Amino acid sequence: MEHALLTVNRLKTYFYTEAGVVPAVDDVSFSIQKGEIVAIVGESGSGKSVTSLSVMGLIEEPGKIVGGEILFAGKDLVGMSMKKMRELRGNQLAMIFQEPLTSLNPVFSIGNQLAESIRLHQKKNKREARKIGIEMLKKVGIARPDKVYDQHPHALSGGMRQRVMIAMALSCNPQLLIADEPTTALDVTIQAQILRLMKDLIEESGTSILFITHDLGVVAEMADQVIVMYGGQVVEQADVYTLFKEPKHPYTKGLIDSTPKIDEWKEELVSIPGTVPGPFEFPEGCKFADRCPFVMDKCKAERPTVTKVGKGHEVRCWLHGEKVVDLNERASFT
Amino acid sequence: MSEHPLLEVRGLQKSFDVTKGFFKKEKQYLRAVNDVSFTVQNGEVLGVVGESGCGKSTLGNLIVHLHEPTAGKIVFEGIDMSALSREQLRRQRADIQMIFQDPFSSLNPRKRVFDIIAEPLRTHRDLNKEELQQEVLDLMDLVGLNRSFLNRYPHEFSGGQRQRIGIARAIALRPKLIICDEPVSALDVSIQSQILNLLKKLQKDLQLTYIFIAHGLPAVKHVSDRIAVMYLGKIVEWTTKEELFTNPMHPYTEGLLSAIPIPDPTKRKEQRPLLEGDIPNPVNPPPGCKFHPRCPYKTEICMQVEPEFTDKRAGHFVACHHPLGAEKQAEKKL
Repeated sequence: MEHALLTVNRLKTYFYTEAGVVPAVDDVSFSIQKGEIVAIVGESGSGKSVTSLSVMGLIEEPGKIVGGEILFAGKDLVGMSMKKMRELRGNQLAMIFQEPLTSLNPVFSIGNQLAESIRLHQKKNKREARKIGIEMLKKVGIARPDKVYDQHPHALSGGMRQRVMIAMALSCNPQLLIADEPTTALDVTIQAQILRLMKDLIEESGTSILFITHDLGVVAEMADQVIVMYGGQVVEQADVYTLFKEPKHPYTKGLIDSTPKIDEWKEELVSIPGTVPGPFEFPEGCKFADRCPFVMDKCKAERPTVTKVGKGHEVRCWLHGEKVVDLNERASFT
Repeated sequence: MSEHPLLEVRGLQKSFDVTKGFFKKEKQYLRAVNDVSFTVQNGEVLGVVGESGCGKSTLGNLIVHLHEPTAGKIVFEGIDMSALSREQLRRQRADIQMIFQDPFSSLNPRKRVFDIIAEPLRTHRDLNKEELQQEVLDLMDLVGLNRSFLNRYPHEFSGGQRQRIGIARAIALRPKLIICDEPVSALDVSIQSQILNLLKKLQKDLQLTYIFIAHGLPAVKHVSDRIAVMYLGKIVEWTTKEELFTNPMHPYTEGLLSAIPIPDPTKRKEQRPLLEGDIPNPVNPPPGCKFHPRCPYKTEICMQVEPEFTDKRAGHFVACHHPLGAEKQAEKKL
């Protein structure tokens, strides 16, 4: 296997709150190859965002990375000094967030903020930075980029702001872009534009993307590899085609079945029973046990380990003990 | 069916004064709802779909009388609501209820579940203590809330359960019409279908009438009988759900449909046409057809003349100079 760009190995990020310790990321491993789009899917509280913040070195008190390693281009990011981390961020690691309005500073112009990272990381002077900045805005499909360069964030629409964020993130040619729900706050027609833009841009630059989302539709459109998280753990990972064709974890299967499909007409929608438990309410054994239609005694008693069920296809579920079970043949969620 | 529809909206308009600055002589208005007309029959579900700023929420607020219309009429059960006195309006409110988007901000955090659900019953009906308790417990059964939750506070519940509390409150008085304003958008994917199934079941069992507002077509598809698509304050298409999904006639509806991500990686839509551009500023809408700057089929007339909202095919209303369907068929033959 080729040397992966990013390897996360048995990562544990815990939060030490007054109410107790929350294992937000609990033994998570995955890797990203160069030029690959890896999606992390999960619902609220699954640990998908904390995983991405851990990679960026942005975990703050009371959170702490308590175990595992994050190897980026051969270097371990866990325990790296703030100074070195800052050099990586912006240059080789970049991130875009869900709500572009809160990540842009309202009192500075777009150009000012765009140029800041270019000047800081690429050591360009003001005029050169402006040229590069306007070029970047053009690249992300902004009409009249030289005008927008001097505007302030409030003057732009949500879709435009997200384009600006993408321009900023990609201005220093990062090797890895972390996108945390980048289109969730956008309207559906704008979401489609932004997704296509991201795909086109990375095809050109060879940037890898770690794409965090709750929407399996977006995953199916974008990802090469998929990681499904539940309760701070990876419950399944596979390439996107395998995952949608042969999901092996009941949670993955439930998510796929409950995602609305526009060409399907049903009397009743498929749903997963119950709700995602609060941080201290997860069951002892398998974290999904009390919502799972296939639950066995073993699931309630013992936390499942990772089973390899195919090439690059891993699942954290006791169902696939001696032989791999085909979930598509089992009646599951109603 | 009774002689008049349950709800009839005629030429409804709502403008907001958005004039900035103290000394400006010229007033600026945002026409959130601009000449909207439709009817809702008893027992029917009308889905209202549109992106941000299209006026769908303002429309809902107008119908429950949270806003005063600038022009036009809302006729409920044959009675013009603007002609009602305060007291009559108060009584009418019992017949029209609302379910809100955010179950976190729409429930009073200081009140117990019992008091939240009992509030409309206390205001509008004369029940003794035992009857009230029984009524609330029945409502909790109806929406799938555990009876033991009676004395708990909203913060102890997940989003899905809170939405159930909101639904119980809304149906407490057996209203004739319920406005559901994005009732599932704030919920996790696996919970959304639970709530949609519940809303549909209640609608059938209690023969309720809904106006179901959402920003995306997938959410309204399951519960609606008819769907109205809004763009910049206007209804651009109005027809049955089956007709809308199989034969969309307005280019905007077509764009909305093709922008929905498909949860199947084998059907990636690299080649599918996407709507370009952004939603224009509603304070300063384009002349002619409001959709023309984004429309792939626009011609000269679209830029000058606003299309009329007319019945193009057996109850399929569209506001477009070049509705899809007939012309497209002819093009294919050539």
